Amino acid sequence: MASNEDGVFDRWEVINRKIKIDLGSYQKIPSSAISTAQMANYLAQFQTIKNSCDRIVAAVEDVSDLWPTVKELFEQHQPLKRAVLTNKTRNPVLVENLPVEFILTTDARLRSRFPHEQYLYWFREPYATIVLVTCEDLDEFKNILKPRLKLIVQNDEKEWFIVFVSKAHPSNDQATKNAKKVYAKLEVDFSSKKRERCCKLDIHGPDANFWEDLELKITECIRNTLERRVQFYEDEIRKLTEQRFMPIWNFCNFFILKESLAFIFEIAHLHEDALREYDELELCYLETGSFPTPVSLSSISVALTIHVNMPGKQREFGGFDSEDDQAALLKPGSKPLTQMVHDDSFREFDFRQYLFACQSRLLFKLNRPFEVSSRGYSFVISFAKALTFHESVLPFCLREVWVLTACLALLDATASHHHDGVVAPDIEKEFYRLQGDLYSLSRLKFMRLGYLIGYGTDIEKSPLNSACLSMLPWPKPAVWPSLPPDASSEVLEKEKTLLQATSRTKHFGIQRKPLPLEPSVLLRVANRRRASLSTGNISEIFDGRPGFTEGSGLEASPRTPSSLKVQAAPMSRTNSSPGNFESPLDRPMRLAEIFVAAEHALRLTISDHDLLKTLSSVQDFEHKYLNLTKGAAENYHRSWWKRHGVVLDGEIAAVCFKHGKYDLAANSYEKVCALYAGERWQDLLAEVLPNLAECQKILNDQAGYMSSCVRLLSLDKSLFSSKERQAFQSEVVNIAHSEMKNPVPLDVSSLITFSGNTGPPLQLSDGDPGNLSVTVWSGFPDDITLDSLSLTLVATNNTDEGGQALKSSAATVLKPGRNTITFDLPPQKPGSYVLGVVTGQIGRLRFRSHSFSKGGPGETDDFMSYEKPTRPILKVAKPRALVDLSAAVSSALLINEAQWIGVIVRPINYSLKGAILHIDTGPGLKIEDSYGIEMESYMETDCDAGATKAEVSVEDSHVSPKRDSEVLNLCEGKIVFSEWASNVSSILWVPVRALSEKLARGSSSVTPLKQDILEGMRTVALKLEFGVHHNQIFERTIAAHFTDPFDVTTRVANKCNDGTLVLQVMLHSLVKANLIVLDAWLDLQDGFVHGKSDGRPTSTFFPLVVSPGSRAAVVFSISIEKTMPSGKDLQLPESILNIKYEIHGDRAAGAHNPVDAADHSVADAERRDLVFKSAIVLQRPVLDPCLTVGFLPLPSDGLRVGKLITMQWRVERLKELKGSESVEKQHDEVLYEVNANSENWMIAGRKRGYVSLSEEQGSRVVISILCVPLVAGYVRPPQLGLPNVEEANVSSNPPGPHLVCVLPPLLSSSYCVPVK
Amino acid sequence: MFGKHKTRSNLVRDFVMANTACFMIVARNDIPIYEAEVGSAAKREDAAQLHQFILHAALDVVQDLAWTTSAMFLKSVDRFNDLVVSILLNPLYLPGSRITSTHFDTKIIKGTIMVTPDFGSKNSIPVFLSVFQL
Repeated sequence: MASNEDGVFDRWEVINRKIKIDLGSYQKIPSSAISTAQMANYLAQFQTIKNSCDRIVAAVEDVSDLWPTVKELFEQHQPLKRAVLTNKTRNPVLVENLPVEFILTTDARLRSRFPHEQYLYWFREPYATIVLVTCEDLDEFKNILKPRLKLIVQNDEKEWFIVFVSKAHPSNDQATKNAKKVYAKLEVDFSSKKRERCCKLDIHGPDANFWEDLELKITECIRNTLERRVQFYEDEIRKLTEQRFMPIWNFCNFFILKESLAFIFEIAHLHEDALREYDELELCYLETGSFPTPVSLSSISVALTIHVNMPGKQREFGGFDSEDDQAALLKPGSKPLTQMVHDDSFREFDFRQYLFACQSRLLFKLNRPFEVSSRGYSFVISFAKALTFHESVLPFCLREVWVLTACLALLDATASHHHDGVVAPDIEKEFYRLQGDLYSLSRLKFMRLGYLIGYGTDIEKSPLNSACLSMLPWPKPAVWPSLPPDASSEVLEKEKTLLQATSRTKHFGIQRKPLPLEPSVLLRVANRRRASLSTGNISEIFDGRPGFTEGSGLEASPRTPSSLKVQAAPMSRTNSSPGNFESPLDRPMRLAEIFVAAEHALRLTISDHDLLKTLSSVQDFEHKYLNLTKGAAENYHRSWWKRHGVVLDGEIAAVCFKHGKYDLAANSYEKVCALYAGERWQDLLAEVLPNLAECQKILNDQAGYMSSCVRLLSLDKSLFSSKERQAFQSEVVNIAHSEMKNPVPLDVSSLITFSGNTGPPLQLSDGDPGNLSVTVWSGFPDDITLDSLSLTLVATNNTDEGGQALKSSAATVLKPGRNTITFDLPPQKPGSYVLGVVTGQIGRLRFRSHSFSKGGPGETDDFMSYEKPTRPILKVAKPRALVDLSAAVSSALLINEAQWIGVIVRPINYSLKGAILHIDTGPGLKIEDSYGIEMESYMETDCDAGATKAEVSVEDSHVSPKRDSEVLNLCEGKIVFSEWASNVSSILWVPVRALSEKLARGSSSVTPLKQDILEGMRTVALKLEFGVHHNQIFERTIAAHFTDPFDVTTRVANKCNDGTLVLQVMLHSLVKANLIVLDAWLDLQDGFVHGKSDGRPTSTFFPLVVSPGSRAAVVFSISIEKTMPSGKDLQLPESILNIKYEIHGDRAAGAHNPVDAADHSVADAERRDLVFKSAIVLQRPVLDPCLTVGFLPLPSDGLRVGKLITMQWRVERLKELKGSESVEKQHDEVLYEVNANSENWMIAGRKRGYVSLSEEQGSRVVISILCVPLVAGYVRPPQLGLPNVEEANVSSNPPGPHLVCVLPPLLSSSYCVPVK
Repeated sequence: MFGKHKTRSNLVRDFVMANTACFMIVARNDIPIYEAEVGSAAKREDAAQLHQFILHAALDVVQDLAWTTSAMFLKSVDRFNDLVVSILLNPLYLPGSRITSTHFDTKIIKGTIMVTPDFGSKNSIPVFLSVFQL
């Protein structure tokens, strides 16, 4: 210790020597001035002086008694507005509003100090000396004032300047002039080029510049003084620091120097520098202390483990004073330094708090409450560690109480200094996070205290609380507090409450071991500590390890008496140690006793009445607990740490629940559940979800409750026992079937999933219904009956339209796991469809599931596959031709005969199973009902090879007639297709007969046949209904062409002299079949008779085969009947050609043997022959002229171009006219007309006109007309026609057209001159 | 606590020597995809749940830190009493299903697993969280 003192003295001597040099008025400090005994005094004095001085001092040397006059002015201009000072690193720092106190040098405060005192507390010494002078007389200045000033300012350590005060009134010129002169002289004498040391204040004049000048000068002085003092302190500190590991080291000295320096900075408002000094001081303190534990420094943030060379020297820790339990980490003045000092250093407990308080004070001044929080939190943590180390000697639970109060103090102080929006958002968030942390920490400690005095039953055994408390070791006092003698009633009371507290049974009968709140069984720990006293034993060593791993086998409820027995073995061992074998200690304490003992001990520890009150009753405890929890939650919510906030919301919910505020509890629980569910931490969700469900049940929130049950069911199966899961399900079912007002919608996506069957999607044609099979996975533990189940399909191409819901027919029972459900599928629009949503109903519960499972049990828990199904389940093809109906034959069939008309039915990749064909014949066509419709398979063939292929098919039909050919009966105009025809092309042979009343007409050159193609056209309307439900309809009208077998053309081949006519009848086959003419005869019309034969051609020609498309001819010999019967009884107006024939054709090619003719039931003999009849018109020659027109001969000299001639015709009546109507009108007149080619002839005269001609036979008239031929050559002459008389009645001579010769015109010689 | 330049293998050793530990892999959207309770100590029944709880809460810290530091391995982001939460970010993460390989389990327990952080982007945040007792 002595050496220490010497060390101190040495230092101070050095300092003092400096002072001597500096001040020149050195007075040696007696060595007794600083002794160990006086260290405390020093500290006290130091602290007092420090506390009494809060600003920079400027001394005023009032030479001319001016101060009373100007004091007010000076003080008005405080504080210094802008002072540029230099910080520790010699950088200029702008300080605003720096207060300066002016003190006269004659003031007691400055005068009374001893020089060494001045020096020790240099920070309070003046930083500037202002010399106030005035003088109006130059002589006076020279002789009196100047020497005096020189004396004052000779101390060059002082920073001084002179303020010359001019009292001269501006109106007084002389005085002003004098003052100016004196001031000029003053400047010359005292200012130098380097430094202006004078300024002038005109009391009566304008002073605008003066105050600025003054401020600058004061600032300059302060800056210089500050620099010098800082330099000095730094040097000293450096020297001391170098010795800090030497035995002479005295921390108190170092502290005083360091803190003085810090204080110098502080009063100069250089807070940053001051803070740095404190940080360094703290570092040095920790460095030179002897800490067995690694300490993480908040400010320096470097971990240090220090075992410096100070063996055996340990600082006293402290913490035994009253009120030490209340953290003083923000109250620097809570305890005088003298109380902290111990030997040459300070007690850690107090001193570290003191340092932190100083730091935080500066941080608040720097407006950095955030940093106070962050440093504070670290400080609390590290300080708590130090407390842990000394726990055995400290009062019971002092550590817990201190941490609690420290956190609360920090929270209070920082919250009041923090203002939203001042700092960057990031920092603000971090600030709130720290506040949350502080709240959490205080909450934790508060819970621990509460638990120790028996409020454990009121602490929710949530994961948060369990994680907090069960991993936090019990306090380890040297001796566990024992029961005070008079506490038996309290114990009784405690025991009663413990017995009353029944642990809440969980809803759904969930059997789960409650999470522990104890790191190890309190009963055991308390008893052991109590019994073992300070004699270390093995169990204590073990106990030194964190309790978290202590066996779970000791988890039996601490409240049951049986647990005491469990503890018996270690207890007895402990008790066997010598010296502790006292009977009162022997009996292990019961839990209630432990609680009561702890409570008593805590009352001794805790000095804060408010805190004591919060622990005095369960209600108070809960109130405070809730406040702390809310504080933590709110702050975390304001920070980024939402999870922490939400988890704490859950704790609030638990309290709300306990107090019956179920709606609040449910709200909070929902948040927690949403958090865990969102991130799929199922284990955690399983813990809290039952609580939410219980709230919802109590609140009668059926929808929410059911939703919670479903969520519980959809959690990992291992999280709940099957019995519990069954309970969830039965709750769902019960509520669903209970009397709910409204149906409750519920999303069960997590529980019921669905997928399409594997394999290709179902393919349907447009308009077809179908059956869709879907796999539905049920997550229910038992079978569940669904009242209905629907499935929505969503078209992939059209998202706007909501899918169509498919309903499952009846109530469905879903087994746990995989179920296959088949849905009826009505016709869908074309497109591809994916599964949309499954909906269904259980009682009043309408559930829906969006969740698509990929299928397969292995993948059911694969929650990564959340995507919507993209694989189409159904494809509906666009409308296309599904079937084709066409006529098998394009060539003509026989008209008026029963013919097979072929219809080819060609399915196009579509089944015609059970198809129905409606056959509707058009006009002029009828179905021969008596015959069945033949249907046979049809091979796709080339058109040309149709016939041969048809034969093949016929042959096939012999092989398996049942398979691909059969006879169907037409029933009400429709037939039903057979099974075999579903997928193959088939041909239908329908017996029809085209009806035509019209008789075929032959044609000749005289009466050409006008072919009418439409005449033989008939139509058959077909309508095919097919598809599963006959929903597909195909309609087609096919045309069939019917015709007679022959086209007949006649001509008279020859006209014999005997009047016999050879009539050639040409037969042109119109069908694609061989026609065999068996016989032919003519029924002649009147006026004609058969020639030699009987009207038949020579029979040896028959049978005559007419190939398709070829011609044949038959010749008849007829003659004209001489004696015409009178017109009235004409039997036949025209002749009829009869042809008996057979037809050999294939129905697959065209016309064929009529159905009825081919009927095998009819005997050959009775077979009806086919007879073709055709009308032929024969015309008798015309020989009945009434008039004759004769062309009179032309003149003999012939015709010549340009020569006028007269053409003459003689018209003579041969017989009297009768019968002809046209003539009747003008019996005596005949209309004539001359026709001539106008290119050849020019006609003069009437070309057309009437001439009178007597009705009498033989009357004549000559019609003349003048003509001029225009061209030479043989030309037809003009002709005379009689338009009103039929040609047959006119006989012309010459009878046919004739030509006349026209000569070229004669040469004209009139203008010719003969050549000699 | 670890020294400043502790290699990964050391980490694994500490990890295994600790008497209780929980190792989790957390995928995108903070979904846990793997968890393993490892450690030599007798398992406490509720340890898994508490570990999970702690790790879940530590995701708050991960979110804070992951974007502010370039380091992929965050040794001690959170402390819960004596439990330390370490985090390894792995940008090589391939979004996929759960890790169910028993081989992986053995590797974890034997402590030979080499998790190689790649110092690329942190586009996807796969997080290996582990909590273990000192």
